[in-house]
Amino acid sequence: MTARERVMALQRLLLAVVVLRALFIGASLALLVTAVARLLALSPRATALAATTGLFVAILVLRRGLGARSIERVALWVEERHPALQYALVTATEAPAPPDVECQALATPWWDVERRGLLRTLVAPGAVLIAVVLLLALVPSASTSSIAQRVRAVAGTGAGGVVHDPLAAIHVTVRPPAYSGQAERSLDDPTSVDALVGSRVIVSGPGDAELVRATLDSSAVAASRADDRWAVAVVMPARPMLLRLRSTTQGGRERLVVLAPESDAPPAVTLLAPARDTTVRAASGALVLRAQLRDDIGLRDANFEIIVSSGQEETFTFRSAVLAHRTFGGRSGGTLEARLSLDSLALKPGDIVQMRAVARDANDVTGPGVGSSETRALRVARAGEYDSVAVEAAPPGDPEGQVLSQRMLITLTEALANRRRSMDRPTLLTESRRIAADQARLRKRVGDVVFQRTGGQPLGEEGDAGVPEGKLTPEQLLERARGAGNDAGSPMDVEGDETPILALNKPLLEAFNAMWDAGRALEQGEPSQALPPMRRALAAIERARQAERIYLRGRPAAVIVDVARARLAGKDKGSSAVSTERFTADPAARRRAESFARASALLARDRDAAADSLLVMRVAALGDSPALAAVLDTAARVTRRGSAEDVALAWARVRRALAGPPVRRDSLPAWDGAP
Amino acid sequence: MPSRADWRRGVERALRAALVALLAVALWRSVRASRPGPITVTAHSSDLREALVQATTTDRAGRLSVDVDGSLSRAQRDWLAALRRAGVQVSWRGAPPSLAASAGRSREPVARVRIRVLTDSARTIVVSDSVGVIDSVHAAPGAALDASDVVGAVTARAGNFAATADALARSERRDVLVLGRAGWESRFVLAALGEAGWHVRGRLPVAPGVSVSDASLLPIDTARYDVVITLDSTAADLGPAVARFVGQGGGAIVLGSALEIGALRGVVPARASERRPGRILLEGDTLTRADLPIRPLVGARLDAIALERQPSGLAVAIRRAGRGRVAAVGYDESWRWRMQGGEGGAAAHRAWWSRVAGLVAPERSPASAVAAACEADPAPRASLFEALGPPTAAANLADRPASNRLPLLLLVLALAALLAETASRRFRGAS
Amino acid sequence: MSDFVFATAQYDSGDWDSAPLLPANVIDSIARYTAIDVAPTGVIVPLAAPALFRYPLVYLTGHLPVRFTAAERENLRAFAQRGGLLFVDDHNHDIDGVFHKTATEELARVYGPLREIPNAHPLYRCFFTFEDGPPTTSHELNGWGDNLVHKTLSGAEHEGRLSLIYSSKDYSSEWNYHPDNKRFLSVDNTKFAVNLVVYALTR
Repeated sequence: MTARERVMALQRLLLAVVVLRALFIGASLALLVTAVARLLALSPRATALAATTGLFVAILVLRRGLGARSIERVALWVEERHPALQYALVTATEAPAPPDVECQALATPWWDVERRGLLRTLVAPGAVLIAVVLLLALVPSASTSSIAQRVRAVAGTGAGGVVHDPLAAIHVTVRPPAYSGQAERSLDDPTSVDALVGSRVIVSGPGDAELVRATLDSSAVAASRADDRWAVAVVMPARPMLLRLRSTTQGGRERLVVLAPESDAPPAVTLLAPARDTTVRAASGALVLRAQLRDDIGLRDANFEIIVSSGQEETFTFRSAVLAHRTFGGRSGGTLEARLSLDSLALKPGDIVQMRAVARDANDVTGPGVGSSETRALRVARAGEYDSVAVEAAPPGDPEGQVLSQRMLITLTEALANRRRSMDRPTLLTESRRIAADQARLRKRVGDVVFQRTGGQPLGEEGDAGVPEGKLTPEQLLERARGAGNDAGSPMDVEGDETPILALNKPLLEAFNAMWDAGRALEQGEPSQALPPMRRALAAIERARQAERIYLRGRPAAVIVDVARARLAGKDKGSSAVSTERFTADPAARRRAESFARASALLARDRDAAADSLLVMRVAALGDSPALAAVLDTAARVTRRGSAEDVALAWARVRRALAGPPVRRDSLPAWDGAP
Repeated sequence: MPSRADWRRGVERALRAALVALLAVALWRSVRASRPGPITVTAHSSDLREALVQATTTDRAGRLSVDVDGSLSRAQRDWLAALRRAGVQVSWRGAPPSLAASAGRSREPVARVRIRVLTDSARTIVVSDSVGVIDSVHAAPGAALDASDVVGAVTARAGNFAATADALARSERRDVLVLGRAGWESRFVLAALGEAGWHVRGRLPVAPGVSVSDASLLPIDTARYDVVITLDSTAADLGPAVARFVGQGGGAIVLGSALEIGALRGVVPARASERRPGRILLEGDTLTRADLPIRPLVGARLDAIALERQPSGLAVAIRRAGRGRVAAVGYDESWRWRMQGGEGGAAAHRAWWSRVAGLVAPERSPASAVAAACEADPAPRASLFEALGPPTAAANLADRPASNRLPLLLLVLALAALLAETASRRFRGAS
Repeated sequence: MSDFVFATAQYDSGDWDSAPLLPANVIDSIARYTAIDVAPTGVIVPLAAPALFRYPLVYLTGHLPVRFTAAERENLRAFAQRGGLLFVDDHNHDIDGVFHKTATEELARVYGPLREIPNAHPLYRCFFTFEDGPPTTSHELNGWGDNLVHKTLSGAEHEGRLSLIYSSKDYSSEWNYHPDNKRFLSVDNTKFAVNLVVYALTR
């Protein structure tokens, strides 16, 4: 090979080495930067950006070796390293050299030396590259890198590069108050916690307590640490409140939990004996008092209360006493009994004894709740009242007889209804129609009373066509009265006082009509359906007895004022007043409608926020609209997790609960907005 | 005389010429095909958007055919109309039903939304808003739905077709003025309207020269009041002012002896006749509006519209007077409906009074709200006809391009000519 | 047909009719000072009866313990919800007495806790002006009852509207006389009754 050829061969090698070096160095730098980025858990974008420094360095290195493109410069480069050549090589490469110059240029084997040297320059960069590759393979992933973990801990990120959300899953423990005797219970991820007032509610979740902020109706509540969980403890308040939990992590969220207090109902007390008010001629002996008590949680104690009133007109004296106090130790039910000695009360004519049972529950948080029974009164009749009061053991008068008959019919019908399942249809029909016949007879007797009182004739015998079919209205009754020549007074109106004729007969008319309904049901063999109108008839007859007592036997004469004479006769004049108070619309309903509109607007953008809005509405609704509150709770839960169809259905239910169902009309109204 | 060889050479030349001609034809055809020609785009309603984009962005679109098997949005219709004006042949086919919807608010503070739907044949229409389904109605051919409120636009859907309507936003109501003597009727009318969200003011005479009233009641004009209610003749001194108020656009409700006030006779729709007592209630009965005492309205004017009738006669009538509206109410002691109407009586009484006040109250929707309502699509089929005309007959749509066998024929002929010419020369011994 | 009918409540447990002349006296006063169309006689309405709802203002008094039945309680609740006003007066004027204790307990069960009506309330200014609140009666310091001047009335509201007025001032005694006897009085002591009625009819 000529000298020129050797230089050209060396040039090619030189260029290759330059390129390779640039590659090795650039790649090594890029990989090193990538390894560091992984250690620091930078984002892929940041890593790629950092890795481009390797490219820039590679370009720089490459630029430095660009001079190798010129063969003369390569020859000069060799001359520098081999002074013995004395520029014979340069001469040989520039032009066809004389043989002696050629020989001089080839005298020393510089090409081997340089070739080996060039190859050696690749060793270091190559080794570095290999080392960096091994380093990258061995660098721990971001999930396990302790550096990454520490960095994440500062930035609030969790394992796997995923943000750890302490509110992702919450757990609630409810400890009811001790007096209730209820067991502790747990809830997972609730939107609402229902518990007795005074219950201890503990909300917890995984993660650091430092990352959780809690507020209860704008008051801060500290979060405590327990193992690797956080916990917030509150006491169930007496009114609904919102517990807000907020995560302080990057992009942390908020969760709302509604605290819905359950109220401890007061005891339900029923006075079983005496069964009704009583009037006696003389009070002696003992009166049995019996009451049944029930409570939703537990009873504490109960007793009977007695008040004895003596006197008349403006002068009265009163005595009160407590009987048969008894404790129940938290039992949910019980009975209370006592015997009241009437002799010991030394009752005189005109005295009134009022009795009732009172019970208290074991609520030591907000109570105790107090429940009381109906009051029964025992009167000792005055001498002058005997003819106007239904005294015990007197023979029943006409309405009284009807009461007894109707009571008997009700008893028979109830018995028949109870035996219905064990009877065949024909037998049931026969028995039912027998009672229907009795009811019809009683109805005729009631009708007799009514129409005789209004001046008409009795209705006639059984089966007579004179017994009116169906029901009668008061207007028809008055027509009959007028038709019978009995002046019923001025045309009756819904206003004003009732005349005795209507006041007296309206209840019996109601009984008359109710008996018609009962009779029809009995004729069809439906004793259960006959019972409600039969009971209405009985109640109406009772009212008729009462009206009779007031209007026929001693109602105080009313003073009739001569209004025309008195009109504007007063000396004093009033003065005009400026009205400042006016009734306003139910603000709660309006606020709810506006809140719902805002929540609806959120629904398309942010379902969690819309669900939270519903929970806020629920808190406000718990006090006065429990049904609405329940619908809101369901809708909030579905909104967080449900499908689009479920969410739409839940929100439609909320809309209906808020304002009622829409009113449908199957035709268009004739006039815009016509009612 | 040409020899056989001459003939043969002539045939070869002819075949060569034919080959060149065939190649020229093929070349000309290929050059012509690369030049763009009009294309036909067909689409259904569901993929119309892509077709519109294609028809708009390519300059070769000559024809766009749409199979309307579902609702087209307003924007899509406008787009089609614009393409037509730009020279694209736009045609459509299909049988979209006649469906129309409207949504209006009552003129009350708690303004319910009345949604009306109309269709060409009896069908079930599902009404919804942006929250979800409100309800469904059976329109035969029309139906109405009163909803407490709607969010966003109202959509009435029948199958794949829908009409949309916007309910105007609630407008601020002005005050209601009640004029009547101190009594239960005045008191409970004030209560009912106040509870229904109206801001009520009243003047209730108690004695000569003595009244309980709100401050600064006068003047009575439409800037301050929406409605004036005159319950009896104690409003006679303000009769002219009330009549003027109605003429300016205000609303009036006139009852009882107020119907005899001279200044109001010119505006009221009818007079009141003798009072008829209401129904006598039995135990357990509840009072309804039909059971109230009533002074049946008589002498109704020709332009009066009867709104309610009871067995004893006309109970509510209304007419326009000047720029306002006047309602005459024959019911007496409506407060009994509230007190004796059972569980729902108070709410029903309140709703009725608010509704009657809303009937006569002036419309006060802001212009911006009206403009927003113009974005709705209440009668889509009519709008489609207006934009694109009637549908095209089905047969002309989507022509299939004729199969093109000419290139193949040219190729076969060219090959045959080439083969024949070459074979002839070979057999002749020529190269 | 009258705009206003004075109604007295009849209840099961006590002497509801302890002031039989009061209605006529109040009716007379309404006629004397106002143009309100008032019925010439009062009515008696059972608390448990549907008829209660025909009279949006009802007066209740007595000396004896008050214990409402379940039906009376339920009716009163509905009465208040629909806009009725109950005026209760302790005929004993004794805040230690059984009427006051039992009546306030029963009323609290229906209406919720009773609160004082401030003496600046429109009730005291709606027709006649009573600068110091409810006028004192001649019976408050007559040696009977608790012998106290009760400075305020109590009451309860339903949705911002007064639905109960409770008095320990014994207006039942003060107004329980025949209206013809007014001519013997230099000062008409029934004027506050006019305020009660005017307030009920205009608020």
